[in-house]
Amino acid sequence: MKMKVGEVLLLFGFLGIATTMMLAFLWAPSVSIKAFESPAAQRIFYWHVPSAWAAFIAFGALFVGSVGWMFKRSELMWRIHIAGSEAGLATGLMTVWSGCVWGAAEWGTPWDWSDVRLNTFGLLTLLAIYLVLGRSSQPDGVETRDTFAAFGLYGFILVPFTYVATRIWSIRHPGPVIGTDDGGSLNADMGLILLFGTLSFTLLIFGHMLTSMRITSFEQRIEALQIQLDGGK
Amino acid sequence: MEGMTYLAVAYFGMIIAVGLWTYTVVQRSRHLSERMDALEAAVKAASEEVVED
Amino acid sequence: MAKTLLEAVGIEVRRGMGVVLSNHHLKLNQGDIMVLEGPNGSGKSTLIEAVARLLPLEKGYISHGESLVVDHEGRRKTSALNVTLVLQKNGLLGCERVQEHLDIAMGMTGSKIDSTHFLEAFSLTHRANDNVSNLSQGQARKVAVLSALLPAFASAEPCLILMDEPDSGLDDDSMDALCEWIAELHHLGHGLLISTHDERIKSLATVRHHLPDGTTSTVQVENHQIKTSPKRPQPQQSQTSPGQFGWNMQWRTLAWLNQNAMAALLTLGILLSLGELSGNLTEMQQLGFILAPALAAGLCGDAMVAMCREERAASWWYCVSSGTPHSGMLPFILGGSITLLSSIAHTGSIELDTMVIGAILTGCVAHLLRFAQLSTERLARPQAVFIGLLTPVLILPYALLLDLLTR
Repeated sequence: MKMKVGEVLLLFGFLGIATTMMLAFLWAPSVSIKAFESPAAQRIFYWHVPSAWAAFIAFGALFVGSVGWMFKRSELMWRIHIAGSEAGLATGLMTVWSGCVWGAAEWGTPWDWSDVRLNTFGLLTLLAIYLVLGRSSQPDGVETRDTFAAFGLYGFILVPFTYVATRIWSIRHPGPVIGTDDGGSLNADMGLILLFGTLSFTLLIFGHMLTSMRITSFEQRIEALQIQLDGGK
Repeated sequence: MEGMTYLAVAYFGMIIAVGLWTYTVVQRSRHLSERMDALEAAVKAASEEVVED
Repeated sequence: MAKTLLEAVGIEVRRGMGVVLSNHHLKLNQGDIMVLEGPNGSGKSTLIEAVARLLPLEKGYISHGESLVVDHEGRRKTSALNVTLVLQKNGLLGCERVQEHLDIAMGMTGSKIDSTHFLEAFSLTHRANDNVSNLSQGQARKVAVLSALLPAFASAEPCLILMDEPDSGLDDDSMDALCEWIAELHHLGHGLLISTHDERIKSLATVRHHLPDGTTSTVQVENHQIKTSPKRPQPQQSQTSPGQFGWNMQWRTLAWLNQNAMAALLTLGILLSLGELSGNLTEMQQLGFILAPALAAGLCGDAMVAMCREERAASWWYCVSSGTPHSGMLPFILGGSITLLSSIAHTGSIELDTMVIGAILTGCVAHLLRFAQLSTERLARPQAVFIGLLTPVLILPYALLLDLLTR
């Protein structure tokens, strides 16, 4: 069967992530034992940071799709909303899960209720679960789309909040490693693996969103064909 | 659990999960594509029947 | 010239995946009985719900009297007219009493009439003080119909009366009475918009509006013999607010006990079972323990939201009073009480400031949850969405509040 663009991106993204994991495991330099409780677990950040990046892309798509549906009533935008929420759910879970793995090793607890960034990211993921499960519980229609698009918009307020949270309430969560005034705290090898991981996750998430949009258009077409077979217009 | 073993288990679990997710999405897309083709054929057949009648 | 009570200009309404009304125009004047005609699915109910301000518009606008009440940009304003409504669902709660519901409906106009004659005509006199849940389907329908007619009879101002299949489930005698009342309301100068398939009601029409094409035709009216209903004017009656109604229903059903208070008591019980541990807590943790039951009570939301989904009571309230029933101050009182109990149980002392914080915490959280619950009301199955998944959003502000209070 001929592969679609989305599937090609998925394949390359997945292979890239697998390679990143291997590099993180076998090639990435170790960090100082003085700076970290669990230096080995620090390597989880080659997964954690790219998946968080992918999650922001997904939540950005969710926002664009929600705004587009609310103001333009565009079918394409609704597909982007769906793709964004599904991809946001998956990447959000990846980020939270990898964060918990690291937290358990480094902090001794997988979850810290006082860490604002951790919690706001968890909430974004919960919002994505809410959107995906909630939508599946309702028949498709303008009421369903309006309601969930509105929730998508509310949720997006959390994105910039999550980004600045580490700077305002830096309780336990490490600060940003890139995009800081001092040029960041990464050495070249670490940065290379992180860049490769980020690219791989970007490919994977775009592949997922394209495939998800294709699935939604199939579902809509199937529904229309079924109505036609039922004798409707 | 020793540090690297802990990391290996975590990485392995995550890569399997991503692989499964990706596989499910692709399979779903292909399944729906086939279903849509079948329905389109059924609609076409139904409209041809109407014309013949 | 007769005053215009209702005007819909170029409205477009979507439901599900379809456009039900497109570029639709409608005008109803004082003294009109406009009957909506058309096959099932042609948009009669949608039109009634749209003019009752219950549905958003994609295009166009709707005015009641001279003021705009809803437009396609999402503006919604309270109607300046007295609007009464019968939907296909009855808009009644099972725990309401018949006379009570009629009084509330009349109270919206600020005046009241004796309902005995109307209850007699509908064979409901013996049920006047009964709960709606004890009525048959037909009897409940009669109460719903009366709740749209009596306010108009009581009102000195022209009312806009919206009725969606008021005849459904009514016996012959009741239909005769209903037709007489409709003719009388027309005579009194009220405007009626009625969706029906019943020929007796159709024969009363002064205007027929056909759907889905939206064509309107004026009907030559026969001179009906109007029997005037005996009305004994009563003193002005105050309007029951949605908050008052919610408070009354909460106390009658004790839904708050089942929903909010039990969650709070269970939380308190579980925390008290850790008695040995609580002695070693920091000040912040101790406050967290004391306030946790209040947070749990608030996180259960407002029981009135679920209650008002019954028979679309929330829609009825929104149309006739521009608000939906809520528990008002009850969550605040509950929060204060449960925090008092929690404070005594944990520390052995009464801390008034903590009690006030507990009251505010439960009140704010419950009303926020209510807002989230109401955001899903337009959905086809609002009870099926996973609103609970969003409740953890409140844990972080709770943690920050504790941090702030113990700093």
